[in-house]
Amino acid sequence: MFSRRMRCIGGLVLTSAVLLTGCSGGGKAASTEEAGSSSEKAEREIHYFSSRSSSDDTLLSLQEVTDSYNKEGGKIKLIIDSNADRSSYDQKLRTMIAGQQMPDMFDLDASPYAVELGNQGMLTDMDQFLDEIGEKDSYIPLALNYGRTSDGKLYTLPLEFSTEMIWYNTEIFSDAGISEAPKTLDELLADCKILKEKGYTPFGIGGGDGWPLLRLLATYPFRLSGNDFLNRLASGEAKMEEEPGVKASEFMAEIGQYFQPGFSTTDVATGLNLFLSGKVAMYPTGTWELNYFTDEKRPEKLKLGYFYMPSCEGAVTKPNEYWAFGGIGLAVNPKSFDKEYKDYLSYIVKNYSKVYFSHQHMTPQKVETGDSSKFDPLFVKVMEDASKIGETAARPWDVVLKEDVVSVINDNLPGLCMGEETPEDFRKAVDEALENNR
Amino acid sequence: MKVLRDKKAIALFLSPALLVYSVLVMIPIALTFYYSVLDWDGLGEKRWIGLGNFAKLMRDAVFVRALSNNLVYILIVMLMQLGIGFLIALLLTYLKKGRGFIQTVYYIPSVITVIAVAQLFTSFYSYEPIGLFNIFRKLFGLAPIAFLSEYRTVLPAVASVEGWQYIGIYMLIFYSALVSVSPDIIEAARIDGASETQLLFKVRIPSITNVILLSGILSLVGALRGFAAPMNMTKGGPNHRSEILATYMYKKAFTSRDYGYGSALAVVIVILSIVAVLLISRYMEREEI
Repeated sequence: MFSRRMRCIGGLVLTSAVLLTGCSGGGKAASTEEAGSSSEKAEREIHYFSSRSSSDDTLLSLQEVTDSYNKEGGKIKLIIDSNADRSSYDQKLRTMIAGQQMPDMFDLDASPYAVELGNQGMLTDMDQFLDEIGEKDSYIPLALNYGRTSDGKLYTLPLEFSTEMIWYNTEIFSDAGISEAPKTLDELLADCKILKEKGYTPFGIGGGDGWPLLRLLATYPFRLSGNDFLNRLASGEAKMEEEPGVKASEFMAEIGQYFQPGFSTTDVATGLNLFLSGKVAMYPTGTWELNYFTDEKRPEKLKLGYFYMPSCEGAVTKPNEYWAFGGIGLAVNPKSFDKEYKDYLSYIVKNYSKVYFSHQHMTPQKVETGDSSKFDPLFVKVMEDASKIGETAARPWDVVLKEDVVSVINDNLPGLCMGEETPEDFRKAVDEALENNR
Repeated sequence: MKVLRDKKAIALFLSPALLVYSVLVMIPIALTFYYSVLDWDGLGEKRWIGLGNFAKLMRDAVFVRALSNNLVYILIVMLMQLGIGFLIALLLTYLKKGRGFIQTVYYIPSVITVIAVAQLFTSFYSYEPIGLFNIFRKLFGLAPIAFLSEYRTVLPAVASVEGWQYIGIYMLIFYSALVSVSPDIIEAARIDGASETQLLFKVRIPSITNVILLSGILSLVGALRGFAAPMNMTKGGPNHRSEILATYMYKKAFTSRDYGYGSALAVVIVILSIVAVLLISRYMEREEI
């Protein structure tokens, strides 16, 4: 009996030993490999979890800057994990952080989530860092301050400076007898009506990605109150039942009838293609997609123009105040932010914008533009517009409101736009979400 | 083979699999039960709230919608997988040539990843640029439909994807069962003058009841686990019209960062799966008696 029990125990030990040997063997192989590579290069790996696509010029510019840093004696290997699907990126990042796996570098909006992370000391203070390296003044205030959280802290560095506009097909507009771009939201709706009667699809939108619809929803509130209504919604002081919320929901119910069928599952890339192929008359997007509209890149037949956020009666913000921001910023894990990493990030701050500008993008820092004739006229025009932007820029709702509220809005907006849900139902659903997330 | 009579030896051989199964399945399920009684956003302190999350579920209109959508989803998936799978299997038994080729063709979708199939069907359902289904509609003089955006079509559209994908597996199972029915019985029935319909309902189907029930369990559990296709194609929208329990659970846990509530939803899915399987297996036991 004893020997049989011993045989069992012996068997278990052997099984476990086989399993453990398997595991440790792999580990040993890996560590030998690491040791080999470290003796040859001694590179420091920095893992960057990015919300941008791998072909995005921000990432290409970062890699170029890293390469030149290494040429000057640095030994950094930037490992970029690119996740262009934004909602999926946000979910992965939050899960990684909840599982104590915060990347060395990652993209982060100045959202309530950033406030929570900051309060727990899980983010590097960029105010302090920029003061330390004396680079704060190199940034365009609108771009840098966009990354400030609701409590005024700065945890991210902007990698871009973007404005958003609505592009329109001038030939379709002319054919419909519309001589100029709409200046007000009422004119926009009137133009949509004319275009629809002419048989065109007035408005193309990547509704499947959520944010384009959110931008339109935010238009009335920004025009009527600046960012005040949004900030009061976020703090629980306001409700959608107030005038800006009512106007916003009614506007969405009306403009929704002019979107392309199937808009709620159309992603932004498909939406853009619809516009570029002349199938829709208007399309809202930002300067990060400017390269698709330049003389060199856009389809030859496509004649286009653009207009910024239309105004409305009773507006308190000026026509030159619209969507302008630094985009999702670069956050740094304070646990890995040592001397070597700090030196590398300083190099990025000092060199990134020059490289990014060479890709024909507006930059978050002031750069020498030099001879503008070498740039596409459209890029030059957009840059000129940007230099005339007013003091207040619209803040995106998906950055300021809590994730659960944004999720409820995103779930309900398509129904509102399709006429399946009334503006009252929509406001009620959002107000309930706001109440649950106070 | 003497060693297999020794219960301890059997236990020894089973223990590695049990260990792996426990680590990969049982422990996560136990942790889900633990998280379901917490209020936790993934960052701050975990607060114990007892059955608070479950009480909240009962008041949540979206949960009720997701649950009812889930029932419709399961129904569509099972009807397609079992109904069409059986029909094809039956037709194959009459086929003399090309059976292997047809089986392979029907089986191929089962080995493709769900995400690829979901992308494929998103293109098929597309309104603009026009997808395959709308091309057919136009050919028949019907107006195109935005299948994935319209309230009335979105749920059947996403459920059909999973239903379609695994038809091949059930076709194979049913075919194997149908050809295993003793030819003597069929021959005897034919001599007695049974028609093909009578042969099907009085001989073939009763002979493979257990296989049908087993397939029912597999299909039911598979449909209850449905997630990737609706999440990838519509994210449960528009306005929760294609929301099922799994997509709602995922969104609550990972989009809204309400890990406790998301876990409570996961617990409901686990319980529903166990109940469904128990009901069917009890029915099977009764049939055997």
